[in-house]
Amino acid sequence: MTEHCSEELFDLLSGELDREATVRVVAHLRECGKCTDELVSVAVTHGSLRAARRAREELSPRPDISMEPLSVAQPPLGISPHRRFRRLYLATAAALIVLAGAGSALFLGRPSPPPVYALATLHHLDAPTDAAGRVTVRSTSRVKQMDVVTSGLPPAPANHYYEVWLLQPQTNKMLPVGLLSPSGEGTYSVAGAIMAQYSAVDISLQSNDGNPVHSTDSVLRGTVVPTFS
Amino acid sequence: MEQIELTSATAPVDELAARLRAGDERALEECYRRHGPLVRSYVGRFVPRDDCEDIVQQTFFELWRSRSRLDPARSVVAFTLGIARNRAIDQLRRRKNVVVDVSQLRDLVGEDGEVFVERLAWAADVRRGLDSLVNEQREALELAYFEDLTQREIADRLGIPIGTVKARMSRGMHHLAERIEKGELR
Repeated sequence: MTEHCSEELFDLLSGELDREATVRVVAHLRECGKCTDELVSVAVTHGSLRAARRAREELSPRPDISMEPLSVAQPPLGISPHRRFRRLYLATAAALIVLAGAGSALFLGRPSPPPVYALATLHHLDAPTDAAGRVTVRSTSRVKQMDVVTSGLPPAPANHYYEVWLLQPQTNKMLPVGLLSPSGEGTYSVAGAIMAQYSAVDISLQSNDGNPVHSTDSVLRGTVVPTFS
Repeated sequence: MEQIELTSATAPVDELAARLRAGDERALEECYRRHGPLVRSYVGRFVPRDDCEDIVQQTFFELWRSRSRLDPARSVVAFTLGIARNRAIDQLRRRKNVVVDVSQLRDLVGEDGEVFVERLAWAADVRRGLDSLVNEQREALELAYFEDLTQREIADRLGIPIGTVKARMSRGMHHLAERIEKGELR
């Protein structure tokens, strides 16, 4: 019997084996019950993880849900009859639809933003008690886009600024990702593999003294919670 | 040295549903912490932002009130998402002039809506299973399945031999399959 191939089964399912390797692995699987059992395990996990990935992408935020009335009246439609939805959907891919109203609604075919990968609520530390923040991490193929919105932070004192950090609380490892704008918001891009090494977001008040190290004056902090955790 | 032991493979079946049924308030808190972000993302697809948080709160309130109907053999997240789905539909029925993408509504109402909820729940449970693997295995599988990296790219990224990547992924997939097969992910 040829050598066991358990570590090549992922490659087989992912299409990463060349012809020669594929033939060799299949020949081995035909005669090895142990590796065939392993193939079942790998296939189950492969399919499940692919399903998890796809579901996360499907959960991308909806286009803006507007509360404004439509200028062009559309046929009213209740929300419940499933088959009616299906027919309407198939017939009019870009249809306008009214919900629960007397006849005004709109389909907005805008592209969806990347799916939400994780969320964090920022709580005040050394800041006014009504200071807070929200972090939304969106996932593109290999980059995480981190949107930070804060409220209640006082304007930074003269020659000071607020800076956003990624934090791993267990080790206190920190990574600066950028300055918070004076409006209290910011958007930052971080490689997914780097983002995965941190589990919290911290905002510090920094002195503009040329020292890039964290000031230890944290004003807001929150744990990043994956949307599928 | 490669870590072989899997912390989660021997972990007991999740008892969150049983604890909720027993009236354990900490179980509700844990449920909110674990599933709140998913519920919020799900509801946010269908209802205006102003209504979203209300529905999330209603969902967990109703989860608590209806805890006696929880089946320990069924996924808590599926049950919770089912409540959120009903509340979102109720909310859209009440509101006037709400503008919603019709293709997304298919994911809320009728049979398609039920299937979507089950799919999200399964995805959440799989993700939780992945998170429970030892770090080395979880990291390799995350990079492969959620970051689209090849095994060679994972090896380069982590600074380890590709054989180590293959071994970690193989072990991780084997352990995750065991948990799935035993019905532990719910």
